[in-house]
Amino acid sequence: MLHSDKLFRTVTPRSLQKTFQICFCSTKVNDKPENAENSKLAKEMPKDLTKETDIRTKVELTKMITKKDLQWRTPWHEKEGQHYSFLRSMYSEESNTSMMKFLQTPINLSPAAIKKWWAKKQEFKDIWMQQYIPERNETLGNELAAAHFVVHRDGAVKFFGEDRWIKKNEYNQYSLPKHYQADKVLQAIDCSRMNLYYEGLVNLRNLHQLEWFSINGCQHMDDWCMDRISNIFSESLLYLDVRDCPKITERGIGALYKMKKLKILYVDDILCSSAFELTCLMLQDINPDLDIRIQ
Amino acid sequence: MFSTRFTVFFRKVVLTNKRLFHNTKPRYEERIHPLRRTIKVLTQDIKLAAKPREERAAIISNIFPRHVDIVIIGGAAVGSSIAYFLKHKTGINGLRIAVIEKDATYGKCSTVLSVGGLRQQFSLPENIHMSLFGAEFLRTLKKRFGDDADVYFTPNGYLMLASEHGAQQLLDNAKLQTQLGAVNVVLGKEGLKERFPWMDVTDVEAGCLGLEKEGWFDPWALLHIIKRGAQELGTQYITGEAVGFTFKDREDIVVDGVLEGTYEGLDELTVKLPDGDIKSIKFAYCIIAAGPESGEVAKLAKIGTGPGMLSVPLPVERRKRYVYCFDCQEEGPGLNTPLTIDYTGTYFRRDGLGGCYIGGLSPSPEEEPDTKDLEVDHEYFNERVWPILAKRVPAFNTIKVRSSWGGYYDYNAFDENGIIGPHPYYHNLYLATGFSGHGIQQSPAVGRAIAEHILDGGFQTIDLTRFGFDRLMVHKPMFEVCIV
Repeated sequence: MLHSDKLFRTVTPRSLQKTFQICFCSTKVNDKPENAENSKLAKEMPKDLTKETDIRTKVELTKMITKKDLQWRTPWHEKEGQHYSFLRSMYSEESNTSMMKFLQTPINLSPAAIKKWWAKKQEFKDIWMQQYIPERNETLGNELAAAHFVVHRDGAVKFFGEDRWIKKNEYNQYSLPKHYQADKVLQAIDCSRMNLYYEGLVNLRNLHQLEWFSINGCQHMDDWCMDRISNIFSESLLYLDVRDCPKITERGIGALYKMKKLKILYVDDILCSSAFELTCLMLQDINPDLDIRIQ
Repeated sequence: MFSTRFTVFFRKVVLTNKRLFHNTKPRYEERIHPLRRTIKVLTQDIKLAAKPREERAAIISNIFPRHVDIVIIGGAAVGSSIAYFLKHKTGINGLRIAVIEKDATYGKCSTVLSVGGLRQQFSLPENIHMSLFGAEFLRTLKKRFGDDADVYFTPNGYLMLASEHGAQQLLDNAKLQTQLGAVNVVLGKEGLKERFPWMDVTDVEAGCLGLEKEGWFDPWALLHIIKRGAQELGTQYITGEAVGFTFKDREDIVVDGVLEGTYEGLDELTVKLPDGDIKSIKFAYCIIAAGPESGEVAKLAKIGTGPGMLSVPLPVERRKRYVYCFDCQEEGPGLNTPLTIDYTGTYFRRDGLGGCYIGGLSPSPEEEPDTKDLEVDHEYFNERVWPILAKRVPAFNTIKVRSSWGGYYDYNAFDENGIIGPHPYYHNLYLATGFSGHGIQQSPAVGRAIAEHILDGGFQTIDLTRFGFDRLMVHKPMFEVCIV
């Protein structure tokens, strides 16, 4: 196999004569560490160190260890007088297990399998399209980049100082500035019924004054997304709407303790399970201003 | 005349060349005539072909395999994860994999007895990368295993506290973690008091709170999901105990560091089945992922007792740890309780919503308990754990222990971090053990790493060379600061 190639060699009995010329590494197992500096350090350390400083030295030593230190035997092709034969240029180092797996899976042309394959491709494409684009944030700044991201995908945004929501019309047109404007700060984002994924939430980072956020009806929002939301909007969010998200459980709601200023939380049904109800009550214990509503 | 010639031959040839003969234990199988065996196999195949597909798969999975491509000793989180990733990369008909698990109920298994935490707060980049992949794996569990796969992840975060001495180390660690993709915040005394009013912060200098991708989950569910995933892709789980290896003299193998012509390789694995039968499996690769028992399994392969490179033993041993489940009579920490780890190593977390908590402390080296069974020492809680808990959280002055359990750590006595990778002597033996308490969150990453090393020839995604067995040979320990 590829790994054994470098350090192990199988020879036929005929070529056993030739192997005597190969010098083998005579590293004994109980050798002192190769790095002389390390051993010197060990000898000079006093005995009456406190536990913490002991740990720091250990950590410093650990940081100095590199991959090369662990290579105590040289691979065959790097030894003196060794070389790869010409035939090695005929094959590549990288193994292609994914290609082999693709060739070995039986082709399933039933309608259900094709539908499943197509759905998987679409999901991959959707997630890919929602990933973070650094250039967008560099040109527009965080607020406007998030606004463009949301509005392009059928959401709505509202800025401070303006009293109308910005949403795209039936011709896919919307009016958002195309260059950075410092006075445009997002106050509210409405992602209702949007096809938003966990990977898409990265685009909504660093919005320092967002007060209103809704993911009503987003099918792909789950506890991990709640974890992320409760972190990125922890400073300023006042209103959160998580109705109609089937994948969110009481553990995700419990993560909302990180939001310090949350005032209104809309959930589907407090009484759907006792754990859910208890979580909501405990959340109100921690955050007395919080008002959990159903409708 | 014939007999004297024979004795002369025997003395001259056989006795002087003893090493040409197998010195392994004889195989415990009766010898079947080859023709009879052929007919038996053919009749079995014909009968099997007549049965429906599901029944066929069930029958095949019950037949003990004589040879497999890869045998994995240990079928808990790490072993099942390796099997799953190997199968995932090669498809159903690609590799033949057998997983040998001693206890099908997983009664004393470290995986199911663990607290099930997921954190990225480590000081080694490899550990952080592995935990990040663990979090990614748990998040995309439904995509891999279907909509009913759930590990009940509670994203409450981890809080590591540090005293004056350790505050600088905590800051350095936090910086490294954020560089590699973890999300956390370092809080000072006032910040901690504000967020967690139930905590007493007089002797705490700083605390690092994990904000995303940290929390705890149900390890039993994870084990079950990965095992089922591996089985659906065709892995065979065998209930049995690995009792030995058979060796074969391989004069033709030349290894750097081994005297010419003296190489003795692993040939087969001997397994003892629950009904007392002893059978052997021939393998191309063997992976030791046996958790706390890995030290003993390695001894079966002469690791630690052999000459030269084999004289370095696998330093993984069993250590018992206790977890206590208690509830608080007063108003204890509420919903905003992360898994809090004190700078003394004492930890506790909320368990459910009814004011129940679980916590524990790793004993110091002098107080290591006996590991012959999983009996819990309640005095240890009263003497060592409770005072620290009561100091840290004043509400814990009035707590009542409801239950407790003990579990084994696969403790790596060398540096308390996993040993992952191939063995330097045996070309067909891999190790994936010694995680010392943080194995469950790293098990997906370890599974993927071993699968990559076997199939692609080297680590592709996370470079775990520094965690290999070679570090024991050159004596370069990889110390991790945040061991709980």
